[in-house]
Amino acid sequence: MNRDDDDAPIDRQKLEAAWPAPEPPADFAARAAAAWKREQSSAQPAPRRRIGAARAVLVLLPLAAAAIFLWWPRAPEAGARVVTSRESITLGARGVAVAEAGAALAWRVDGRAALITQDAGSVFYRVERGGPFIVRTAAGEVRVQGTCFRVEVDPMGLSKKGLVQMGAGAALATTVLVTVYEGKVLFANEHGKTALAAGEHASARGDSAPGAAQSSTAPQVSAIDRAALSPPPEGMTRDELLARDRQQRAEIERLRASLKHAEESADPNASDRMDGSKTPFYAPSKDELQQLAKDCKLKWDAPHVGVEPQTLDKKLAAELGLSDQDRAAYDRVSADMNARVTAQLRALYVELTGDKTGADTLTPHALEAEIYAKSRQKDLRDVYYRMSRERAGLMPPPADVSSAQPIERMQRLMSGLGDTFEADLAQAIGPDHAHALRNQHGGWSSRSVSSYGCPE
Amino acid sequence: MTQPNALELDELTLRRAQRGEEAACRRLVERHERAVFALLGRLLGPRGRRERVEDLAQETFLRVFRALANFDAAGPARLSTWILTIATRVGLDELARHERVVVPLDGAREVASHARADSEAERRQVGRALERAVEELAPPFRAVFLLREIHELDYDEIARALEIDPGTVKSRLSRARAALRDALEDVKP
Repeated sequence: MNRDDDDAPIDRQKLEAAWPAPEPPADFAARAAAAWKREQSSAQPAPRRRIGAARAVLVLLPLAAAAIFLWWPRAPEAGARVVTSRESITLGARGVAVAEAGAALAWRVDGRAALITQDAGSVFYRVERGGPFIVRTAAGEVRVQGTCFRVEVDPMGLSKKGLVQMGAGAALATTVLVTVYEGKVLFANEHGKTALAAGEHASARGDSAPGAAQSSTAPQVSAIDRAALSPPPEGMTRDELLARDRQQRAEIERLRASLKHAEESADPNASDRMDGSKTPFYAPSKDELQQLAKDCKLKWDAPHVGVEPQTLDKKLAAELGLSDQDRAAYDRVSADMNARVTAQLRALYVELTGDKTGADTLTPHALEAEIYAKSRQKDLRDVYYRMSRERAGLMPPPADVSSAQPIERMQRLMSGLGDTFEADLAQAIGPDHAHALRNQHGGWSSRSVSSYGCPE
Repeated sequence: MTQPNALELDELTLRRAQRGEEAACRRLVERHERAVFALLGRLLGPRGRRERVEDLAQETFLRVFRALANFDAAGPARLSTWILTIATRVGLDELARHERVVVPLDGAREVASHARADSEAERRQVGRALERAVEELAPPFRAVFLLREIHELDYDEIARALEIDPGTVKSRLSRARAALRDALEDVKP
């Protein structure tokens, strides 16, 4: 090759020798080619299916309209209720729902078909035989014909995760438990389905397929969760209930901030950071937070989220006094987090773009990048402006972000991931070890300082 | 170092890859993965941890496959250059999305004046200094430096890859080299 340098080049061999680069894993080529194959196979039939579906809709629409006219001549019965004390609700001719305090549901019964949307709480259903009977929740649908079952919807996910992932969308943070007393139901969501017979129960989150609920893995309810989930006093109006909910969420945020501050104050490694500062990367000082807010800038650390979950290096584990069991626990928590966040990113990407096929083939990093790229700059600037001010204590965090733009929910998810992961690890290997791992290099491996400018 | 031409895929395999045959696609990745990992790893600096680089490398090859049918083997760009161009853009997009986070590397400059250790230690020390110096370069300068000094693209190829004119390539490269030389001067025992 001809060189066309005007000044002397640097010796490339010495350069490469002194500056080693990462090597690809042995199976990388096979995985990359397989990913492309999957993308091809999932992308090609889609247009045909869409065209086919469109044609089918055109043909079947008049037939469906006729069927509705003939089969469901009665006026639909519909209603909605936020229940403050146990209440029996008649669902037309299709059954009865016994809702416990705290339940929130809406229903519509069109002659033979019943559709119930249950957003929260515990509801027992007795269903009469007839047409389709569907209970729709954020984490999946329960389809049934003639049975008794209970659906329990916990929008907070029944764990501390819910507190820090409220921004990830209701569907992803919600845990639903279905228990069948008579007959059979099919509990399904986009990730899978499970058939349940009498005496069986299953749970699901918005990011996972329904699966058998086992007591050993039953989610734990913390004291803070209990406060948030405790039933409200009787006689409260819907507006009062919503106001109470906002108040509780704000209080939880305040408690979390206090807890974090207390943990950092007690951190024995606080003066041993890689950058020489006295605060770790993920916990900027008050002054720095003020400056970040002024610049509409966010600073956060996050564990690795990728095609494969990160595992804990044996040497590092030994240095920190972690046992093989601790290391296995770390790997398990890391794999769970990796799968959960990947699913959340996919859901947000689909919500933003409608591109379900692409979501199945993109890597987590690519999903994140696409969400940034496809979001409006104005939304990005607004999100960074508000979040940086929240972190500096200049404005309160929102009570509910479930209806926020996908970019906001993703930003809150990713910039809260460092804390979430540490909290999850703390449950598995103890808070001291979890904190030490995070502090080993002043924060988790992915560290970002980011800004899209302030709103105009 | 393998000569650039040896990196190129044979025509038959390229055609099969353009038709989407999995085995040929795998061959293509095998042929170019080391260069892509090396470029991304160095371009990203401290943020280029192995897992991140792997994600970006996969993204690079997916973009390559999506556009491969339109790649003209008889055109001005070699396949290897074209793939490195895509990898560079993926890496620069990543760097543009978040500001660089500088994590100083164990005080290499301070240690330098006391460096009398063996060649391996010296090599590591030079490596750290290099990495830090490159990290201190703005990403577009870093990309020019890596494409030229490590991957041996010529000025025109770099100009096309980064969509800048060759004069800008020269000035950026000159500045990058000067910064690197300064860094290396500091670590001479």
